[in-house]
Amino acid sequence: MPPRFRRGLLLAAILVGGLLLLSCGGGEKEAGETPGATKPAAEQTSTPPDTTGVSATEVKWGTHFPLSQNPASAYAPIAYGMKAFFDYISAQGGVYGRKLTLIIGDDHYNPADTVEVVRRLVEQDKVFGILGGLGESPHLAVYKYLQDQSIPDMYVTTGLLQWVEPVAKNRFGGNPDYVTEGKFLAEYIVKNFSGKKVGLLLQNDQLGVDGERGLKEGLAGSDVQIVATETYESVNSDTSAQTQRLKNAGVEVLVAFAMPLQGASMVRTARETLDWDVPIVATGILCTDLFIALAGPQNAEGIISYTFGVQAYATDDPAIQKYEKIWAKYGTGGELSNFELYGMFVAELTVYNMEVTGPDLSRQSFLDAAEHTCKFDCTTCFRGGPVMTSPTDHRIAKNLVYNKVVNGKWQQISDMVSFEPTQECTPPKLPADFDKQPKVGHDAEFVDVP
Amino acid sequence: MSQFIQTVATGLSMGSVYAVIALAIVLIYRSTGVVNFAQGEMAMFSTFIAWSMIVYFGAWSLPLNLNYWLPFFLAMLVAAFIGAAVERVILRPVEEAPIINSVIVTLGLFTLFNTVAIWRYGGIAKPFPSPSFFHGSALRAGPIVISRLNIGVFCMSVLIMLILYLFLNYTKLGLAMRAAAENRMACRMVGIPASRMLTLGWALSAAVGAVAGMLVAPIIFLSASMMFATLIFAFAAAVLGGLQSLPGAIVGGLLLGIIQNMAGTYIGSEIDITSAFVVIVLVLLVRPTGLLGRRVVRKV
Amino acid sequence: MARALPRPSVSGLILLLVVVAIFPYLYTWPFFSAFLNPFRTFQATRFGLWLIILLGLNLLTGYSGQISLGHAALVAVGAYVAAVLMNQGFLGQDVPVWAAVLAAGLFTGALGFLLGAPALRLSGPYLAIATLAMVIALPQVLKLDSVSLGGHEIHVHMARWTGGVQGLLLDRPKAPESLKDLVNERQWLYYEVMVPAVIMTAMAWNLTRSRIGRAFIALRDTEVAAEHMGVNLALYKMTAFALSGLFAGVGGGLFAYNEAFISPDSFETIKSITMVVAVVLGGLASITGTVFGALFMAFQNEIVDSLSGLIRHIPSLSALQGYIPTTQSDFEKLRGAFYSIPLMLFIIFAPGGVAGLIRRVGYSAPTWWQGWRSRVAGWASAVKPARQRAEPDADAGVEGRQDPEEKTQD
Repeated sequence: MPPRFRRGLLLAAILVGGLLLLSCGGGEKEAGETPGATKPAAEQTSTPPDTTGVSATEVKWGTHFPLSQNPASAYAPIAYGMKAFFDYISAQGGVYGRKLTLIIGDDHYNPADTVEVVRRLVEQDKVFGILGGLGESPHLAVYKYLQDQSIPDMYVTTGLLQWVEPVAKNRFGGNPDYVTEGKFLAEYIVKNFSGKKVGLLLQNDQLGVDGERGLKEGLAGSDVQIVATETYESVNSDTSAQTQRLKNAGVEVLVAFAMPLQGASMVRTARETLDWDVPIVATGILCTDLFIALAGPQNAEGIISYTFGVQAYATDDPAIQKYEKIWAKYGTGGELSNFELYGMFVAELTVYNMEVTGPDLSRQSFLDAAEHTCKFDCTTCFRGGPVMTSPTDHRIAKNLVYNKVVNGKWQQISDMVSFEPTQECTPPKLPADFDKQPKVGHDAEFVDVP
Repeated sequence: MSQFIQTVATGLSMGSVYAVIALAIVLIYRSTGVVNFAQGEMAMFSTFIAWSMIVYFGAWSLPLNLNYWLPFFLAMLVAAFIGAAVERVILRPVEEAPIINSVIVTLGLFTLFNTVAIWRYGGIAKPFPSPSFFHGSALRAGPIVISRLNIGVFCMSVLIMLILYLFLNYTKLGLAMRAAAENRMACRMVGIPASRMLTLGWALSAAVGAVAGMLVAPIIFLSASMMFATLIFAFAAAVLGGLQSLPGAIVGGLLLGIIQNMAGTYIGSEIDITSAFVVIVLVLLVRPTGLLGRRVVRKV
Repeated sequence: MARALPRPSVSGLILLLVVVAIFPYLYTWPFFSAFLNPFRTFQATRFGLWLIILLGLNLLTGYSGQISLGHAALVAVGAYVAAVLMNQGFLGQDVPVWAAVLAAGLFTGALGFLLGAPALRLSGPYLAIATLAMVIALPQVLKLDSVSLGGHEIHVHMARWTGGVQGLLLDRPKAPESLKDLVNERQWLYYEVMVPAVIMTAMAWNLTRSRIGRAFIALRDTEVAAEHMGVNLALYKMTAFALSGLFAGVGGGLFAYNEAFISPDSFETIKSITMVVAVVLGGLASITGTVFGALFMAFQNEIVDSLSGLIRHIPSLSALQGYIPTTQSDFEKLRGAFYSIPLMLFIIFAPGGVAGLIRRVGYSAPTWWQGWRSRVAGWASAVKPARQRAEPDADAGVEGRQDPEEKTQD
C-alpha cells in the first residue's frame, strides 16, 4: 500500500472515530445527580403544546454561564445556587413528580460560544427553557433565537433594558435594569445632594452606558449637574487614575456604576491616597460584604447603595437561614454569598411558576403562568414587595431599598420603594395538587430530606 | 503644570505594578529563552498560598509582623519549588521542540493554574495585606500625591532588579545561567549542567513572580483573575523595555503606566489602553528589540 | 521541514468533496441518523467558518513563521465591516451578502498588508506581543464615541457605526424563496459557508505549492539565505499578513452573517490565543493540520464536556477533601483542567500536531510493520535452535541463527 493511501485511510479513520466518540459522549452533561431520570424527553416540536424537555419524570432546564477562561467566571456561583435549589426541590419529589435538572453550559463569556452552547442545549440536550443566562453580549447573541422558537428565556441575569422593553412573551428580566437603577440613585442624589457637582465612574460597557442614561434621566431638571465622567475597561481592576482625575475635576459627589474590584479601588484611592471624604453613591452590585472587605470598612463608611431583596449579610433573617441550610446540603461548599442567593431566588420563582402551571406542563402554559405571577412572596423578597408580573411587564425585581454602610456593615436606611406599575392582579387558578407540591416562598420552612 | 506632574506620578504608580511583574518575565526569558504565559497565574497562585498562610498564622499573633513576613518567605520557597517542578516535569520534554510548542505548554499551564486556583479558593476576590511599612498616609509634595503603597512597590521592584542584575552579571552562577540560556550544547561541553541551570532559572523567576504577586495584590486585589490583564500589560512593558534587559523591565513598566495615564488624562479614559499600545508599537518600529534591548544576531 | 509536500490521492479528495456536499442531508439516512442531526449541520457550518479563519493564520504563522497572536483582531474587523455593510448598506444601496463578505475580505487584506509593514522589523516574542497589542486595543477602538484633545471634543462616532458596547444585531439570514423546498435555512447557511470554505482551502493549498508558498517557507526557515536568493523579504512578509487578513476578513464576515450578531466581546484576546493553540495542535504549515485545528475550535466545548463528564467520583479520605478533587462538583469546577492537561500532554507527545502525528505514522508504518515482523521471526528462530539443540542435528551449526524468513531492519 503506498504511504499516501495509508495516510488517507488513517485520516478517515480518525474523523469517523472522532464522530462516533462525540456521539457516544454526546453533549449531554448532567449537572445534577438526580436519582432516576436521565433519559432525554420525547420531542414534539411543531404541533402545540410544546413539551420539549418535559418527561413524566423530569424537567430539563439549561443555562449559559462563564465557567472558565474569563474573569467573569466569578459569577458562576449564581448557576450553582440555581442548581442547589433545584436539587432541594427534586429531593422532595420534584414538581408534580418531575425532578428538576439544570445543565450549565460554559460559554467563556464569548458571544460566539454562547450561540453554540445555547443551540446545543436546545437542539441536542432538548431543554425546556433557558434560566438566568449571564452576560450582556453573550445573551444578545442568542435572545432572538430563543424568541423565534418561543423557548422560555427566564430571568436573564443582566440588567439590559432590552430584555423587558419591548416585552416578548418568552423572555423575562432578572436583575433590575441599569436604567432604573440609575434613576433610583438619581432620586436619592436629588433629595440629599442638591446643588452639588457629580462625577461618574463607569464601566465601559452596557452597565456604564445604561447607568449613565438612567442617572441623566433622573437628574434632568434638578440643580445637580454631572461635571466629569471617567470610564475603565472591565479587565482593569485599578481605578486610581480615574479617581484622581475625578477629584481634579472638582467633583463633590462620586457615583460609581462599577464592579466590586474597581469600586473598591476607587474607594481606597479616594479615602487613603487622596484623603478625600467625598460622599459615594454606588450601584447595587457593590452592596455586598465583599465590597466592604475589599475597600476597607473604615473607608467604606457612609457609602450609599441599594438592594432589591434580602441580602446574604442579613444572617439573622430566617429567610437567609433557610437558604443557608439549602446551600449547606445541596450546594458546592463554602459560605452562602449574594451570588448563590440570587440563583436560588430565580430558581424558586421558576419552581413556583411550574407549580402554578400544573401537571400539564408545556412551554406555552408555563409562560402563561409566568407572566401572571400574582403577589408571590418569595423567600428573599421584602415584606410588602412580592413578585408581580403581567403580560406587559416582565420584570421581577421592582422593589428597591436604599442601604448605607454603618459601622462597617450594610444597613437598610429607607422603606421599600416600589416601581410596580400597578398593585392589582388576579390570583391564578391553582391546579388540583398544588398544595401537595414542595412549598416555596417566604413562609415555606426548610424541609430536611434524609 | 501640577496636573502634568500628578499625571506622571500616578502613571509611575500604575507602572510600578507592571514593572515588578515584567521583571519575572524578563528573568525567565533570559534564563530559559521561553516566553512564559503562565507567569502571572503562577504568581497569583503563590499569592493565594501566601494568603492562606497569613490567615493560618493570623491566629497565632506573632511578633515583629511575622504574620506577614513568614508567609511571605514561605510562599517564595513554595513558588520556587513549584517553578522547578514545572520545569522538570512539563517543560523538559518540549525543550528541544520548536519554541512555539513551549509557548503552547505555558498557555496550558495558564489555564491549569487558573482553574486550580478557582477550585481551591473560589472566584471571589480577597483583600490582601501589604507590609506594615507601606501603611500610612500618602506622601505629598505640594499638590502632588502618591500613595505610600505604590512607592513601596516601586522601591521593591528596583531593589529586586538590582539584586537580580548583580546576580546574573557578577556571579559565577549567574554567568552559568546566562550561558545555559544561550547555548546548551556548549555549556554541557564545559561542564555546566545546563538542565539544572534551567530548573534554577524557573525556580528563581517563580519566586520573583510570587514576590511580585504579593506586592501588587493589595492594589489590584487578590482573585483568580487578578493577573489576566496585568500580565498582558507586563508583557507589553517587558517588550517595551527589551526582553533581554532587567532594567528595561522597570523602565518599560513605568513608561507604560505614564503613557496610559497621560492618554487617559489628556485624551480620554476610553482610549487609554489603545494609546499605550500604539506607542509600544511605534517604539518597536524604531527599536525592534525594545528600548534597552540588545540586537540579537542569529546565525544563518 | 525540508520534506517534499506530498500530493493527496485524487479518489480520496473526490470522496471528501462528495461527503461535504451532501452532509446536511445525511442525517435523514438510516445509518447516519444515529449520530447526525441538524445541530451537527450547525456545527459543520461553524467548522467551515473556523477553517477559513485558521487557514489565514496558518499561512502567516505556520508557513511564513510570523507569530501572530492578534489574528482575532483581523477577524473582528472583517466581521464588523461586513456587518456594517449589511446593516446600513453602502451609499444608500442594500448590500448583498456575498458583496459584503468580499468587501470585508479585501478591506481586512489591505489592512493586513499595511500592518505587515511595522511587522517587518519585529520577530519572535516582539512580534507576538505587538500583534497581541492589536487584539487588546481593538475593543476600545470599536466602542469609541469621542475623544477630547486639549479640551476639544472630537466626535469619532465609531460607536455609532459599530453599535458600541452592545454590538450589532443583523437580520437573521434566510434561504432564497426559489429554493425553499430543497433547502431549509440551516442547510442553506451550511452551503453559504462551505462553498467559500472549499474554495479558500483550494486557494490556500495552491498558494502553498506555488512560488509564493515557497517564498513563505524560505522566509520562515532562513531569512538571510532567502534574501540572498532573491526573495524580496519585505514584499513577501507583507503579502503573508495581507493573505492572513483576507482569510480572516472573509471568515469574520461570514461569521457575522451566520450568527447575525457581532460585538467587541466576540473576538477577544483569549479567543485569539486559542486560535494559535488550535493551529499548533492541528499542525503548523499543513492544510490537513488546519482542518484539525478548525475541528478543535468547533468542538472543544463538547470535547471538554465529554471528558469532564467521564469522571463522576473518586473515592478518597474526607480529610483530604478540598485538597484533592473527589466529588462531581469538584470536577465541574476543574473543567479547565480537562482542557489544559490533555492540551499539554498532546503537545508534549505530538510536537508536530495532529498532522505531524499522521505524517509520522504514515511514513513509519511500513517500516514499523516490517520491524515487527522481523522481531516475531527472531523470536520464532530463537525457539527453533533450542529444540534443535535438544535433538542434535548435523545441519545446525554456526549458522543456526540465520533464519531465511528473517529480514533485517528497523
